[in-house]
Amino acid sequence: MHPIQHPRNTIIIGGAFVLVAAIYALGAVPLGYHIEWAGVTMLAALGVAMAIMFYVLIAGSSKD
Amino acid sequence: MTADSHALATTGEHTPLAGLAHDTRGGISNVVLGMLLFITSEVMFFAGLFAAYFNTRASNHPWPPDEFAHILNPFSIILVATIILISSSFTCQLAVWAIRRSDRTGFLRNIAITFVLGVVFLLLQAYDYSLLFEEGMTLGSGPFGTTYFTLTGFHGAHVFGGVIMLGVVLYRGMSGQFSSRHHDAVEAASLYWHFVDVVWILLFSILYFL
Amino acid sequence: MATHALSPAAQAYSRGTLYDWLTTTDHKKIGIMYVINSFIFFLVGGVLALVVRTELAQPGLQYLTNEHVYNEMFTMHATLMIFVFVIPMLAGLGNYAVPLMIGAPDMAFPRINALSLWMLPLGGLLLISSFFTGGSAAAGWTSYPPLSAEGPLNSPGAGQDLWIVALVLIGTSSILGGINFLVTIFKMRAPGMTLFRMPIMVWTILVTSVLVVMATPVITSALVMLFIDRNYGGHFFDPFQGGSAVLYQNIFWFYSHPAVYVMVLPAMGVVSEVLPVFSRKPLFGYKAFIFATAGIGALGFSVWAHHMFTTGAVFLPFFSLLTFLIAVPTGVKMFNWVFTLFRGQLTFSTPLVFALGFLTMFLIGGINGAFSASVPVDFALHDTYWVVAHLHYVLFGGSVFGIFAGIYYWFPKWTGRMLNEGLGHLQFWLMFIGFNLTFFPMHMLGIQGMPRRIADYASDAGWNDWNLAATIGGFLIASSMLPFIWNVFISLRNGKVAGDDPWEGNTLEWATTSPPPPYNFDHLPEIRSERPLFDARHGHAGHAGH
Repeated sequence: MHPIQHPRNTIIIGGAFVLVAAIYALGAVPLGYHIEWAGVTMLAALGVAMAIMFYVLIAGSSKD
Repeated sequence: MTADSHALATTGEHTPLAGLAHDTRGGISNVVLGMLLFITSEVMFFAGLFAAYFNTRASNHPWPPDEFAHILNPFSIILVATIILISSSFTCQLAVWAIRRSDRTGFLRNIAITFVLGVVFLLLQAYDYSLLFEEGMTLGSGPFGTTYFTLTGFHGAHVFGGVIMLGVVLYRGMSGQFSSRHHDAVEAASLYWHFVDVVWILLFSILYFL
Repeated sequence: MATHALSPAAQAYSRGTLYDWLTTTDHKKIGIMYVINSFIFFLVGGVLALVVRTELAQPGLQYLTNEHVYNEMFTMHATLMIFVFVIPMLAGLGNYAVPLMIGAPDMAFPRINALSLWMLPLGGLLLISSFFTGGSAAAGWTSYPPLSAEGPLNSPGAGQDLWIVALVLIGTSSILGGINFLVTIFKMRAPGMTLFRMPIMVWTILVTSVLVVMATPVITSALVMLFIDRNYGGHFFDPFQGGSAVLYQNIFWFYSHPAVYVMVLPAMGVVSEVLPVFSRKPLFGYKAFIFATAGIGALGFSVWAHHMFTTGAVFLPFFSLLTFLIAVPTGVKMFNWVFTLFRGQLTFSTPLVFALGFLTMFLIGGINGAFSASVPVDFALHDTYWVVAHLHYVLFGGSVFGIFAGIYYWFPKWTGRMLNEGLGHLQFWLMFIGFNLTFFPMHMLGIQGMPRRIADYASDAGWNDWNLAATIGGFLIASSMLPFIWNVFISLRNGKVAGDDPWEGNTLEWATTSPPPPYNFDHLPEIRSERPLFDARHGHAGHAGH
């Protein structure tokens, strides 16, 4: 299996969405907007859900 | 392997090999994978509810409102319910480990205990609701009541679904349908039950401590 | 060889009794029923659109009793088209094609597949029933509170509640389907079919299924909260009681933006299957295409508030920038499709003609969408007919043309008969001309300031001619359904026998009879590239690099 396909790397996908959530939260105030908590929550949860989803899909796949 | 048995081996569900929790080419069973994906969809359902909670909380001060501040006492019946739910996750996992090593008695006993603990949690939650109603807190009493009852209510609904699932597993277990090689439904139900427990821990912490 | 029967007597496979069809768990029958159910609701939604266009053809409220009825019409038009036509139609095309394309005998969970199917006519009927229970929902398919909330001035009837319940039912059907596709794709591929040898159609269904499983539950939560506000005295969305109407919009669009990719990615998958076959060239940039699809799926989660720029409650630069960024992977795909056609040996069969319609119309939809991504432009064009033009160019010009490309492409496999080419071309031209006549003028109407969702307009606003043209176009689109329905009818009875592989296709569904036996394959060719049938036909395995 190519190294990039190692199941642990699925955390990167989840991490990407959590990063977007962080930018969405932390970038708002300096640029003159307010933190929109609903969006932050949904994006962060998406990161968690995506990490779980891709981990189980990759780790749970057949080994051929 | 001939082309035909290759084709057969891919099906998982339709073949004599379907009994294995792990299919012949490695990986986890379809049923368990399906349940895990369903759990991720449920994570996103609660995400929408939590999104509403945090948004509402951010624009309503004080939070909780003065008339209900005292209900957010974690050291009450709700703590008992929390301990019961967490214990039920332990007994559920004991049941899974038991059936994996063919200990049918241990499996049945632990599933039965988990089922009972789940029911007790629901009863305690219902009792807690009745106390809150007496205090005048309802779905319609204001943003605090709306968000509190929606979040805990949907969690309770999911616990109820889990209790049904455990009941089915208990019934099937008692009629001897599970073995160490063939118990996908037990694995799936236990994964769902752990999810329900994790959501409660999160919910409890956010509602009562944050 | 292309057309030898791999299994004898395909016609001997029983078409099944009514009871068989009602109780089947066979993905092929289920896929066909998805297509039929979706098409019926396409017609219903289309009739509602004709009602809208008829009323708007001239200034003055001529045909509808009042504006409220008009609001019901456009609300239900959009709701039916999105939830009971486009999304399930594409799921149906995928349901038939995906197991075959990966060499599997069925979906991972056949009974849940059947459950997902039957929830759809039920949901559709619930929606339609609201017309007979005192009026349907009338707050737009977006259903924003306070208009959609309870109260004498808002949406007091049962219609809005039926709408909510129907959508929760349909959403559940979708989520179960998405889980089914993901487990099927990841666990049931034939040996040799690695992820990077799967047909693009399967990849687009994969990404779509991720979007469905992740995003649909979020709209379920929004709908549930709206239901609580309407029926249990909740205060989620009531600003006078500590709630927030904008909160609904954020949660709603967090689903509804990924939903537009759910509606377009499988159609792009169809186009990516059709173009290589009818230009006799492999798809240009197979891997880039996959990464672009994944990129669109991922970015699609971060742009939802571009539907709400004008609320004043949005982090504008964040959403504007990410919205522009989506144009990049989409552009990659456009280039890949064009370079697939370039120097190909083109056969202008009906599937290719519809795919070309997709390319041209979706391009326009993408360009006018890019205008809207700019915040100052959107502040002027939001809630005008510009947006109506954009959404129809991508959803009709894109998805619907892609859907018909798929229907003409796979009809021979489903039924063993070819559809008539002459009637197919007739349908295309009527639809293409009608479509552009209807929706291109809406760009001008939007720029001239005509708001959307209005039952009537001032006769001196200068909008009369374009509205009349749009209505004529609408009836032209409707007329295109006649050759199509006639085509299906005569082809089922008397169409040319298709054989296994009438198009000289590249993918595995053409390696079995038309229609396939219940278990799909007697024998699978060796799989060493993303074009296993092409390889088998040309006597060698292997496409460089795979």
